[in-house]
Amino acid sequence: MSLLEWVLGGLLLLGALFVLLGSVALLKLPDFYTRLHGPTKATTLGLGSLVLASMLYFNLHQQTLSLQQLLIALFLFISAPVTAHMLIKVALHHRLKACDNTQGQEQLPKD
Amino acid sequence: MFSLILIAVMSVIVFALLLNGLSLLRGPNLADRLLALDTMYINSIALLLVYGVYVSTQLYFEAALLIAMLGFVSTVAVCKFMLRGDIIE
Amino acid sequence: MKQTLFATPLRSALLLLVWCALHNSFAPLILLTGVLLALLIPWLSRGFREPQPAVRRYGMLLRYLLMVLWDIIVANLQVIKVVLGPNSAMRPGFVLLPLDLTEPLPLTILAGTICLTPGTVSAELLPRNADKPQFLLLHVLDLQDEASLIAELKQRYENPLKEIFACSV
Repeated sequence: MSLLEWVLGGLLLLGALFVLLGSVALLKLPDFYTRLHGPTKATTLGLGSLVLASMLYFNLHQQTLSLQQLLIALFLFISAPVTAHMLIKVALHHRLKACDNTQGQEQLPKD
Repeated sequence: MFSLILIAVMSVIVFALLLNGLSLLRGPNLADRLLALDTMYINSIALLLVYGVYVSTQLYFEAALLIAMLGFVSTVAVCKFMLRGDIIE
Repeated sequence: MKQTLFATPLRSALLLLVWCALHNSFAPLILLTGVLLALLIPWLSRGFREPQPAVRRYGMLLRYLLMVLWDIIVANLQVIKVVLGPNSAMRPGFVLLPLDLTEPLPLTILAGTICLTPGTVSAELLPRNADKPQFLLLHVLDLQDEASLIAELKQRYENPLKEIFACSV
């Protein structure tokens, strides 16, 4: 196994770990507002590192030009905040209950 | 050795997908299920990316790109529907 | 607003790059169609464009993007620490961030960065009518000290954005 393959393996394992942690956060955290943090952050970074590994693999290991993964990463990094924003707006609109030790609940919009 | 790592990575992502399915079933309400679905499509993109490396073809990346676009648009459309009761006003 | 073919150089360059990336090649024919599309699409969609504050300092924009990338990595480690800890030790909270920015484009970028970085998700712009001073409602995963969080967000993200877009405030 060459050095490049070690680096690729590390990046892939790191990415898989982040993806898994995002899903674990989704299952484990107590209310919707905290659950939202898992997928928007951990999964996005996990995918970013998988994309990096895949780009390194095709461009350096296979010696072929491959840029589509860059588009995937770009698109996900732009769309993840928008999705999170829409989802939390839905939650506020439906007045989902935040877990009891949440601070600052009096600041939520009343209408 | 490298293909072994790839198989391990794919199994981890499949496990993450199973966990997402579990939270999709558990709910407890529509917004949570929507969040689980959203995570699920992102994870399926991750799976396609790793599978593309495993079989050494770039064919799957276009599919992943399409999943990314359609997943984002559909999530936002459902959000909009839940906010306003209508998608195009 | 200028209505020539070269009205939006940054957008045209981005379109060309996306087109070449989509085809995985920089062959002459693809470059040619790419240039054609990169000029035609902004020109055809000029009627839909709303006037936005222009980017004044590209170097600073690049530095801002790199800083955000670094912050995403750091933020993830923090989120993972919280996720792996017990649920009872977690202190989530809602925070109102007072805003100096008023234009839609810098505000969108600010909300997006806040979503991707230190354990915060931007939720809503309050109050909804734009003539009063506005606040951004945030949800924070692990809220230690509200005042220092607000100061850090303003100093780290809002001030560079103000400089990049050369806003009047």
